[in-house]
Amino acid sequence: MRNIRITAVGLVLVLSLASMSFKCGGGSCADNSPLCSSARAADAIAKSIGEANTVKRELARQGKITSAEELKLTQQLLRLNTADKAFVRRLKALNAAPDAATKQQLTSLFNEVTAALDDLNTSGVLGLQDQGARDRLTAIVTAIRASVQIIQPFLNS
Amino acid sequence: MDFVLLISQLLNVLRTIKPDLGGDNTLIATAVGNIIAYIQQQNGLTTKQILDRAGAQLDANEIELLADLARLQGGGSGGTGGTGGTGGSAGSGGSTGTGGTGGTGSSGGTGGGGQ
Repeated sequence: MRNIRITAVGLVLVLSLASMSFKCGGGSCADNSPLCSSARAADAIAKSIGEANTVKRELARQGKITSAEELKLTQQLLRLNTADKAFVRRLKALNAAPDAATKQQLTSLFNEVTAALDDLNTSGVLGLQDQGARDRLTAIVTAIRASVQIIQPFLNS
Repeated sequence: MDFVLLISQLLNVLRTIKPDLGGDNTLIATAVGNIIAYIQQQNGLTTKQILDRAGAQLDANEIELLADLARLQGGGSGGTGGTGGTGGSAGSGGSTGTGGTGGTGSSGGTGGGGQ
């Protein structure tokens, strides 16, 4: 678990730099805005969930994961997707910089995202019998973890 | 810039510091490289547009995941029965016209296919 954290910390640095390396256009997402970074990260998480589902289906088709494993992964991905969806919906409703109460709500929604991701990793991906399947999905979980950590400073600021 | 190569090299450096680092370099680099490419597509979009895009992606994910869930849980649930038809209109003219007959209810939906 600690090794995954170290990898994720390195990757979050790369992702943060990548997300900040774009020029601001008129009215476009301000790169130094915490809300903008959170939106980018939430969008990246959404994309990664879709990718994880595609990989999961491919692994099932190849017979590398059992139906029971696929079912468990599907339920966990659905939980993560629902959590990210609730977080995105709350971000969309923001009209100004969040006050203390709003931040509390966002933190609570964000905690569900991280809890769902931990569940996916520990009781889903790491429990897979096939090493190759485990490696492929671990890579995506690591990438999601890096995106998740971009959001953290927004909630702590 | 080739982000996949860059991240692979970064992971190699991390491994020299921490040899027992988990995961596969190429797979992780590809996954993160894909995210960076996706983030690059956000260039020029407003925060609202990015959140709209995220919402659309999450909706699409949900449809796919629910379809998988239905397939894996084996057999769909039976369809709901149709509602009864509405009664016909009262007869017109004459001293005591009789009401029309009731319409027929639609049939129930079909259950999803089992595995």
